Amino acid sequence: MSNVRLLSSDNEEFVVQKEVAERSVLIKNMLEDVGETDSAIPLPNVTAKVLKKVIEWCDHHSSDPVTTDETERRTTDIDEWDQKFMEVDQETLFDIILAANYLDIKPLLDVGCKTVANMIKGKTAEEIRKIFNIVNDFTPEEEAQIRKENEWAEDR
Amino acid sequence: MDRFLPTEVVYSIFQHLQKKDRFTCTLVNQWFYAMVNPLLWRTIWMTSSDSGKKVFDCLVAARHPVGQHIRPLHLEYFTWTDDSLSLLMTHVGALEELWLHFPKIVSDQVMQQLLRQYPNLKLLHLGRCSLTPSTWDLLGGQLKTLHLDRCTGVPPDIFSSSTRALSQVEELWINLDEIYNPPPDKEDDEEEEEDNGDDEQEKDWVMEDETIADMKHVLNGLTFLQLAGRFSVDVVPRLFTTTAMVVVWPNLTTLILDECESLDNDSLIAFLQSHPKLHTLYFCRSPMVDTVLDTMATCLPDLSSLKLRYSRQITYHGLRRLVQRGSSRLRDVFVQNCMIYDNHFPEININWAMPEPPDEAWLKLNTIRKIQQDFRQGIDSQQEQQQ
Repeated sequence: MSNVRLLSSDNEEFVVQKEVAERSVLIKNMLEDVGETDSAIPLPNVTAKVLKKVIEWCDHHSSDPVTTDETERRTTDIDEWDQKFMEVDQETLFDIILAANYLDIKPLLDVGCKTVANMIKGKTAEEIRKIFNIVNDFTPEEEAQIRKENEWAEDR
Repeated sequence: MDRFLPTEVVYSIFQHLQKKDRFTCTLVNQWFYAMVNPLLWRTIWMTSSDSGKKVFDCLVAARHPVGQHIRPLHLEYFTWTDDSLSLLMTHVGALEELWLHFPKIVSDQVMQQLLRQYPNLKLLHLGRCSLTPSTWDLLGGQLKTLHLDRCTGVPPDIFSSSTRALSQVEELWINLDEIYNPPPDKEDDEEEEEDNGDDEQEKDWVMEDETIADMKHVLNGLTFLQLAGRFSVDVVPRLFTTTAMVVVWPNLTTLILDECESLDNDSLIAFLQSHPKLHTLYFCRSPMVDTVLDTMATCLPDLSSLKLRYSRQITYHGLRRLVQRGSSRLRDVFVQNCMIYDNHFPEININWAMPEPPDEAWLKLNTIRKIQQDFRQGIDSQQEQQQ
């Protein structure tokens, strides 16, 4: 099995099995376009710390069947291994999501989104603002108006 | 944190949220509101008794035309009338799925208007409706999913090849329990005159042979089939009993049978073998044995969800074999009243609060993956040999 060399933004090199690296659609397409190459693929948007995590995920899931099943994607159930994998500080979690988005690794992106969705569940608007470091730009009147407009959805 | 996730990522996070959490997200800030509000309004699925009125109040009072976002609309306990349907058509733009539960007659005129206004309407649920013969002609062509829940006025030639009105239907959910036995209040006068009310009450629910033949031959594009209600006790064996491998619905993925005590094992096995696309199965009161589960394991490569109730002849050994050898897509197995318990599967983390465990076992994704992994690593086969 051939290997692929990946270069992180902070110039750390990773040697990865081709099959593992190809979980990333971006890398898969690059390899198809470039063909056999000895030079490392530069990934200027991903740091070594995050790339290491992403490779760990791809390695564990390298033999997964490709799923396009919408219902499978929509649930917030997360595989036990993935749950443990995502037990990281929030900044790393967001970095992994950004990397999965950039590298086009859909299942990893989904796991990341589900993890964040689970963080939002059951929280108040103020708590959500805190999680995402968001400033409330509504006037109290606007907030009251929205609350009224969507009143049907407020109670469970 | 000095940066934030891109819009498309945040949007897919919102997709994983339910109504209540989406509601909260509309109040976070303008950016969240702009993204999540269309999503919040997209799916309206209400189950409480006063919710229909609330939704309509909000629709009418809204500053923006929020009704344009609505695709599926489901208001349980809401009594639809011609008036409320007209109000719906004023405020809602591009409906795709509509659940109508109304005890009143909806006029053909309004039904016609409804179907004309919503050319993208793909799913129509008719619950306890009184329908006229001409309704069926109106439904023709556009519907992919039809739910018929205890409606009256369903003619035997509903699926017939001559009208072909419903030949495009891919998903069919039917409970015809009241077709041949109209609600008493409608038949009161006649029954008094004829004085044979009791005979009417005791009449069996029978589906005509021609209707069954039509279901097999005209609805050959079915992907989803659910038969519910007492009427199906008689229909299931007539619809499924076969001596040879006959492909009835080549694209069938989901089969839900609420009453299948008269469906014999050989017929069921032949049916499963000839419908390999099946991924979701629910059977109630099936007299199936472990051999049927083995057939599922070998013949259904896409099987993802299996639910069984009152199948007392299967064993937990059979169920374990299904999980071990079955589809890698399997993610949900639930058995109830089958005398199979959670504690037959040590892989399930059990924490009962009750002194007696309920008669059920629920294998979720993580448990299934564990059983399959252990099996592949040979641990299970060793244990079986020891037993």
